[in-house]
Amino acid sequence: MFDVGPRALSVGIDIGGTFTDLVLLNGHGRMHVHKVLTTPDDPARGALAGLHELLERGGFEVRAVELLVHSTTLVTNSIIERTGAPTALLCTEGFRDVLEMRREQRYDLYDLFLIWPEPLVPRDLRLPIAERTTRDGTSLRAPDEAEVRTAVDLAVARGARSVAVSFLHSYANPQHEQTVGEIVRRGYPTLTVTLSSDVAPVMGEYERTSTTVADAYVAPVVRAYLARMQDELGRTGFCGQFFMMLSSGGAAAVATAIGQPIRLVESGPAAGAAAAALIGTLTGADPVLSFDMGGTTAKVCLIEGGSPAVVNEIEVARAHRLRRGSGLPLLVPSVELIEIGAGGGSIARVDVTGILRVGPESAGAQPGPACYGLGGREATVTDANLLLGYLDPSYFLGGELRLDSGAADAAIASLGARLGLTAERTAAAIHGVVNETMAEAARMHLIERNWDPRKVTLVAFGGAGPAHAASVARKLGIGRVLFPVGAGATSALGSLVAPLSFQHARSLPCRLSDTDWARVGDVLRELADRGRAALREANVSDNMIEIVREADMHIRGQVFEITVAVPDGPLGEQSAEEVRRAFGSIYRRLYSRHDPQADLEVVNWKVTARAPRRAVTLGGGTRGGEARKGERSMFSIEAGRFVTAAVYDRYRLAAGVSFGGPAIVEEREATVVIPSGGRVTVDQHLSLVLDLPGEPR
Amino acid sequence: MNEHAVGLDPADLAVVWSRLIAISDQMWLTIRRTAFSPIISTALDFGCGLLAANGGQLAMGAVGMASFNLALPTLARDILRRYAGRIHPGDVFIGNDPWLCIGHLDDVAVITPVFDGERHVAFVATVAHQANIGGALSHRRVREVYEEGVFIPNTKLYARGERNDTMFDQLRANVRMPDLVLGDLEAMVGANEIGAGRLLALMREYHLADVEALAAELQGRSERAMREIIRALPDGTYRSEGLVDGLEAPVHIKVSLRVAGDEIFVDYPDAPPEFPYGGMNVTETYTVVNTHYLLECALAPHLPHNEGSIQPLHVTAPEGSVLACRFPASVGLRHTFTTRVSSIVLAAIAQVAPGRAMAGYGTIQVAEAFGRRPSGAFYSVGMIGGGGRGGSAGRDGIGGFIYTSGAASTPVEYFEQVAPILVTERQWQADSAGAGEFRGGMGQQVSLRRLPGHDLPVGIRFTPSRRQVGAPGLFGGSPGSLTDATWNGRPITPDSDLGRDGLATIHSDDDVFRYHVSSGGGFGDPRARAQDAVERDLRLGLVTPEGARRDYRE
Repeated sequence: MFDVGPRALSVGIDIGGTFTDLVLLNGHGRMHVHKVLTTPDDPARGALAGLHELLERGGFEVRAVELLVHSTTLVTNSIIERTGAPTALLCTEGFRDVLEMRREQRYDLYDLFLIWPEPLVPRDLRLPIAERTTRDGTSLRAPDEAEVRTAVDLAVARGARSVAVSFLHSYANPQHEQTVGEIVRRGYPTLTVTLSSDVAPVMGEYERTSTTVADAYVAPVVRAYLARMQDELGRTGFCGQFFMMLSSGGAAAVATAIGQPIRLVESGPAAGAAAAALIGTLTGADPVLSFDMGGTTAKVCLIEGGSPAVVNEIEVARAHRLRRGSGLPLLVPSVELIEIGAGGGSIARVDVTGILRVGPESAGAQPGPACYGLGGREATVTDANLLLGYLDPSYFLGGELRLDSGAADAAIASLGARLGLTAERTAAAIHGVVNETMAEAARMHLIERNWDPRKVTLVAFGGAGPAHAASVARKLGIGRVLFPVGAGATSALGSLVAPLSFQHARSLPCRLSDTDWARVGDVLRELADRGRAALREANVSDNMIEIVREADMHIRGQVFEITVAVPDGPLGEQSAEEVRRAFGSIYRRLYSRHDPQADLEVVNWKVTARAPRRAVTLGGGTRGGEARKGERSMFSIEAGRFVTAAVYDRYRLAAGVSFGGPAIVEEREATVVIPSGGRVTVDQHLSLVLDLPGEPR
Repeated sequence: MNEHAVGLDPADLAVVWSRLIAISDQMWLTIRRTAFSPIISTALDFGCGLLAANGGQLAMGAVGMASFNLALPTLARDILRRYAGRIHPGDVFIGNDPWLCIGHLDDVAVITPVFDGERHVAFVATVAHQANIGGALSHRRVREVYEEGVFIPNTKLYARGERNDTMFDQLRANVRMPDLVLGDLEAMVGANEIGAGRLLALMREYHLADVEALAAELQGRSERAMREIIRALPDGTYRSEGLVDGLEAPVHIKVSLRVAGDEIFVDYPDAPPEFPYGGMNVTETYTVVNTHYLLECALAPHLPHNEGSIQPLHVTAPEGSVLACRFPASVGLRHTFTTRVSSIVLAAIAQVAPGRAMAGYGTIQVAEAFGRRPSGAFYSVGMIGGGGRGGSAGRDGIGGFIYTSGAASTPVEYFEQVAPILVTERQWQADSAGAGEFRGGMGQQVSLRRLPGHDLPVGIRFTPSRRQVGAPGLFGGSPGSLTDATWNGRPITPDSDLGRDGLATIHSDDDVFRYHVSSGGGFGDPRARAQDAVERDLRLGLVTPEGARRDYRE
């Protein structure tokens, strides 16, 4: 991909549920941040107005913007709020209820009354077609055109505007789906069509069908939205490149995104992880744990070798927000984010056993924490942070929202009375309990990747992350924490550094010892061609495209798959040994043991086509003047009492400055808490580098 | 700050408690990642917990199988009794006594005493369903537990860090797929090691010399909360009874549930005598933990569960009955029986807490395909599917509900990858749901044939549950459909292979094995069902016009 010249500008826009964040970066790494309210009825309106304001404030021309990268919650929201297009599913006869049967696994062992989300396609729009392909791709019965037409006529009569096609074993042979797709496209040009063999040609009929219907469901909405964005941008005189952030942490041309809109599903959080990856890379830290704590949830993500961990499947629209298995699975390569019900708005309460609990219920933005003064009465994490001196009531969101300390004190004192604790002890406990929750969830995530937390660097951002990061790090035995600039707009920044990349996967299950390498070679070539085509749509020349081939494998019997590199060049019998060795070394790293004779199976073959990462620097100067703007009393967890902490203005902390804790660093969107004994250095990218003392636990 | 017995105030306790649960969950995750058998990694048939040195329960994982965790204190106390003065650092115990543990030999516990130096301060424990434990191939004909596999009284698997090779060799020689089983046992030992290390670190951080007082404190809190919940229930004795599938014919099960102040007494009066064969007998331990689990699901799903929360619950069954069988009764399929009995228990609970009432549920059903590939290699794979959940106040049941097991169903594409089978149908069966104002969850219909071109015979193993008696309806709702099967369109007779042994063989591409998995029972009078709900089911094809006339109009 091209690099933006020093005078050229790049802009990242992240549309979230509440705020739309914008970041403008010039070639010297100088960052301008802007935050506007999201306009849910027409998200493009708010984003475009915000872009206009951002450019105007800095005196920039829209024509100077050479690159615009966009992430959005549009896809997720369409699925959660059920605002997508009425969709029909053509499925193999005899399997009409795949979407409703799911995997049948209860996500809560004690809840007899648990519920699942409604399927995106109701039963009367799930229409069987007499056809069958076997496990090896043999066609037993081809679909009949007349029957397909009858089914589609029925779907249209029942209001369908989009059609998903998902037949058994279509990953092994897409012919039947392609035949049906042709019939629909030819006969019904106004319908949108999604084939499961295009969107997710992998084994497992429930997950594949779920992905296919979700894509069909959001496609008309996404296409209309992106067409409007492009039109409007063109009208303002924008003539740069316009890319979309994908769930995988890569970016793609709009044309590519429109082809598989479901890939946009978690684009915002993926962009946040991309930003953390950038910060880690710039500082030379590896691995990095991205820690993004906002108002209702915290998200953690492990980043190894500069790339966030990517999984093959994610879940959306959960019936229980934090229960794995309660939502709709999507086979979309996605940055692996662990979501924890812990945020600034998390409510503290006394449970039936007389114990303090914090979250996962959140006061959200409305009524919000008690100290917002918007009617919230319950004590939240933000209230505790205010009482503990971590937040300045007159400098919250840069002073835009004045916090009511009295209301926070009252809420916490009343909770404390029920526990028999002072308000101060209660506030410290709320802070401690929420940190415990986040630390344990982060620990599980690290364990799954077999990382000793003590070897990891934390990168903290989000509205609440910087106030909690040091304490979470201590609990995990993490010795170093990085605080990037612009904690409130990190996703928008991340989208700017995401490499253009697109992954295709296909199931071809086989034992490694019994692999038909010629056929695998064909499949990998086909996947690589599709990847190259996607990058060409973003004007990447072929000689710049890197092709990465991988296999998802496991030991026969185990369910956890490991992604292993497949060697470049022609494949043959000798490839099996190479792949086996690669598997063994990763397996040993993950599980600290390995049987070299193990019977290995490959499930999916994957190819990622990607362009080189953009080189980005951050920094480019600070406001002059004295950074230390005063001091205030803050609760020290280490000392168990209030201590005097120096307060610094983040925007005046120049590279090379160093100071010790206890201290507080304030920026507009977040407050960094530096504990006693901690030592901070500002690096050349203006990140705060916090080193924690002591023997890690 | 030290006014509490353990020296921890509610703020510290909150952190310590959540850490203890997290440690159990970390052990659970470690096993899930490192175990080899699908019954652990996919069906999640295992649990982990932490215990004080006296065997009192400290914490159980939030994710593991509840009944497993509830049985751990019994096992730990047996170890304390049996090995008094002989428990040393580096010891690891193993055991699967169904009368102590959880009801059949397949569930094996690995328990590690935790030492701070030379001082025994706690136990960490895991129980997991093993891929195989030896014994007869078909549970249907066995008469005694001797025929069901290897029986391991609590024994040292490691003694002072030294591996007990005799034990490992014995197991290797007596179980099928020994690599899987021994690998999984090692995974359990490793998980315990991790749990022990983290528990010691926690004790040091909070300056706890022992955790007995802490266990008592946490149990006390759960117990008080549970007593409060029970106190809010109206005193009285509540009875329910009904038929459930037995061996050749249904048996009658009665449940008496007495609420007295802040305690609950559940009894199974006149429970039928032990079955002479067939593995469906239940040990008293398992009857007790299963009943505890049902009460907790129905009355206190969100309470932190531990040994404290079950103190106010008293469960009894007549000794020598099918629900408190004596050694050496056969117990291998005990869960298939308790799963059906559970509906009767829930019906009794429904009278105490009408807001938590739910009609009976259809049960999990497995159809296993096995045989040899042309290469001679053996394969075996189960098609797992759930029955329908019962209707409840204001809500229809859902189909494909696996309870009380935490297992998942088998994807058709995965099943067909392993077995040369063509699944030609797997979907809801119209009109199958138990009718009611709120109907039961749908029953599913599955059809299997042999994959064309595969000329070897394919074995089918199928033991239907809820074949004799459907899931009971509630408050005037109809019972759910029966689990049933046909072979080439003909019902399966008791004297056929499938009827007698639960085994059959597909010899021809024309053979069709078709079965139905029981639906949930209906809740409330079907005639009270809202018109638009009936119309919606008609539109969705979940009921046929004839079915609607029959079930919903007089």
